[in-house]
Amino acid sequence: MSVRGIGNMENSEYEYECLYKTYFKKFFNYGRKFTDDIHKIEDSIQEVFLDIWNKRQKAVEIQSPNSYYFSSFRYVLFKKIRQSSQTLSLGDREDEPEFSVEQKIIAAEINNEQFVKLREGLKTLTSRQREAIFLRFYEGLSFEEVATVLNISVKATYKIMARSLEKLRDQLILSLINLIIFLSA
Amino acid sequence: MHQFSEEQYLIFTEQDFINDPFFQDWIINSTREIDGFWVSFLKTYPEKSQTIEAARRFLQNVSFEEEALDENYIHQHYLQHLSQIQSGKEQRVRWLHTKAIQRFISVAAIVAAVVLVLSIVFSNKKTAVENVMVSTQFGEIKKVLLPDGTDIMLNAHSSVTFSKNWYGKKPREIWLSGEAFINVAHLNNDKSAIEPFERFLVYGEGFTIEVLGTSFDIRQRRGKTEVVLQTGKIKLTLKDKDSPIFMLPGDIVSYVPVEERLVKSKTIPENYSGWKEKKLLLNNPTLKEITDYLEDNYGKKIVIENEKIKNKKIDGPIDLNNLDDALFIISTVYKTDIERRKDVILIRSK
Repeated sequence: MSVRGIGNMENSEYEYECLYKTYFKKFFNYGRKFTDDIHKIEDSIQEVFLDIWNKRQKAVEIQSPNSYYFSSFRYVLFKKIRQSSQTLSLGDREDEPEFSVEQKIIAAEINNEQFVKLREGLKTLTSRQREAIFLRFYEGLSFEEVATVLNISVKATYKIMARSLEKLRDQLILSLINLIIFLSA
Repeated sequence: MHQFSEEQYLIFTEQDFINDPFFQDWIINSTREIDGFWVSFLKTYPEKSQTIEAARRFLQNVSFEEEALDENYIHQHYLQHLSQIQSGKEQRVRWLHTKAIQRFISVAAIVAAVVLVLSIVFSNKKTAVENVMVSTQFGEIKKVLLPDGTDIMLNAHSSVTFSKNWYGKKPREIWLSGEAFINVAHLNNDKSAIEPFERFLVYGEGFTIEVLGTSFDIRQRRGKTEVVLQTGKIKLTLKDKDSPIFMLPGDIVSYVPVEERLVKSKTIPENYSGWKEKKLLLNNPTLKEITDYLEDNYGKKIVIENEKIKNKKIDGPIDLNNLDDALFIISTVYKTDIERRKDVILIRSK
């Protein structure tokens, strides 16, 4: 709902500031998976928020804001990345920027073997699979919201998610078997 | 909310739990209700606790690197955003100005032409003189701002007509042909008490839409009308049909008057307004659907010589910024030769 009370202007301003700051963090983190170019991420965030602000002014009600925000940001950022990479736009999924995962793991996490293995496992997934897992398990989006952001059907989202999770778990079991072989050798 | 019963969860394996959306929600965004379900399930069936614990640990360990951001850094950007809003306001005023002048010029030219034609054809309609028509060429998209603040994105080869005089106590009316995305300005925020003169009406071929505060896409092409609602609520009345259809966000109604075929279903509204960003977003369109769209918007006849590839689907969005790019994509994706003649474009398999 985007009903703005005139009486509590200060309240709604504060509410807007919180909205901005919350999504700034989310967008920044999400954007960093696709590019190292911080300026592009910052510009995209500002562009998306100008749109959000304009919609609020006109009291346009956004259905499912979470997926709207994420897909707007994704659209704007991808456009900027494409523009600068000078590659021919094939309109195909292959020219979408790669969703990458880095392997930096802080000391406190090193003792959690499964944690480390899963980080490694993420690298074996495709870019799309990683993005789907990120949106669902890191950002907490629903299956419907993930589908909107990735611009695919909900059914396809279920498939991607199940396949990715199974692949991740296979990796885990595989490394466990290796360990047993290593120990028994 | 969850699809499975306790009995069904009893035979779940670790992987089944990991894949189950309702189980995932317990780890990602739990509510009291979800938590309550799983806690009581564990209490009733302690034999499943090991499996559940393993699945839970697995999902908790799926992680991504997070960048720690300085609050001050974010605040700086927030301030920058506020100043952008401020300068945006100024620009908007200027934009309205130039838009008004542009409209006046095009209106002057069109009105002259319209007056001439209409005074011959509809010499009995006095109101014709006061109407404004804005139309687009093939390959062109125009933004039209109505006197009440409603904005219309007019897709290629389309036109919208409206009265110059919007003031006074009468409903707002526009006549549309082709495709448009309409974002209606509210006159009254109290939706339950809309006066008759606060209504917004859209007339098309064989239908009338009464808007109850909303944004939506109308597509009239090839004898078929499609209406997709993005926000708000609208009342759609079809010629020859007695009862109106009420539409809610996400609804799509498509109607072929000749065949009397009416379908109402659900869709992703953004897919239908993608053309505003010159980005066609059809869900896995076939080659035929893409070429139909290109024909409608660029005014060139496109012939696919090989029947077999007509129904082959393309995966993902296709960039329609210009006809040449779109044809290049088709030739690459479908591995076809493209021959351009004067008025016809031929597509054939290599």
